Amino acid sequence: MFYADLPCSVTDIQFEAPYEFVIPHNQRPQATSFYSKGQVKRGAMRAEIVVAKEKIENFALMLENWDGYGAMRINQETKKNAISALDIILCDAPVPDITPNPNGTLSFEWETPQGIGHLEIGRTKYSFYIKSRLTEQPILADGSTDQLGDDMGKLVSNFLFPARHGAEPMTIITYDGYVRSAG
Amino acid sequence: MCVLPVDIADDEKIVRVIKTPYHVKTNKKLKHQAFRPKQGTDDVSVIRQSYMGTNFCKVKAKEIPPVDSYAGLAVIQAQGIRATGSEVHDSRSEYYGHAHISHGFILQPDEPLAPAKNLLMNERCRALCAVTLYYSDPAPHTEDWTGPTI
Repeated sequence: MFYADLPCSVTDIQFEAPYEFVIPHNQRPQATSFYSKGQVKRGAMRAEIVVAKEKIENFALMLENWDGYGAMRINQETKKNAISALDIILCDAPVPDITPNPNGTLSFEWETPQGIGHLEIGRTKYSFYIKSRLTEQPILADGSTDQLGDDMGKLVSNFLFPARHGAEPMTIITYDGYVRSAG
Repeated sequence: MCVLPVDIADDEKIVRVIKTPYHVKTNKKLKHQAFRPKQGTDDVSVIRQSYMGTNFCKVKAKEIPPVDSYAGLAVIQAQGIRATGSEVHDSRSEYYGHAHISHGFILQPDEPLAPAKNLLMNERCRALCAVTLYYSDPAPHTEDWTGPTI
């Protein structure tokens, strides 16, 4: 069972839903705290990353009103931010479903039996949440796109794609200061 | 033509024309982005199919550019919309038979909502997709609807 201890402050956002757990960027835990010993990284394959980037490039070529309801073009900055986000996130998370939004942003989504992760990339900001069966409250995060760190990919990986631990040795060998290896 | 009441009854069928393949999953189900509003408004354009008919919906679909990307019709009952917390209301000032779904979230151009609001909006749109029947048009280039009876 994976448990994340995140001693972050709670904001008083006035919404009906009881979503209080927000991680301000400067209070995010270190990335290494999300890995338990022996856990395997579940990043994307190199070829998948290329395909995902091509998809984003193609979305950015769509003209104004691409959905027939007045959708905006995907801005070049948004495209650049989304591609950079892929480079960071896909070291740890599988390739998401990538969808253009009518207001010009791009959505990355992961949906598994464990829950849903959503990262939306804009011209200057990103918005992220995970709604997971492993946590009572959703995990929320947002900030400037140039501050998007690798914790997003690790959060997706650990909450939505929990790995089985690899086989661990049954025998634990330790050396103390008075023992040298033979030869 | 029958008289179209301003009030939309719960059992009235509402159609969202799907004009992009990017809002349909590979398994032919809709993505929640199909019910997202554009920037600056919380209105999502729909048609009152119970009164206007399916052929009317298709005619309107092909009037809206880009014509080549017309994919099909998503059908939902008004009570299904209201059950998610959104509202549907007549907006015949656009054209007779037009209506809007309102989610209560206004999006900025080029930037996402804050994550708590984004979660609420996306959950609402997902709930809409869950009660929507999507009909891919088997013959999008014809004038009339030749798919299943809606």
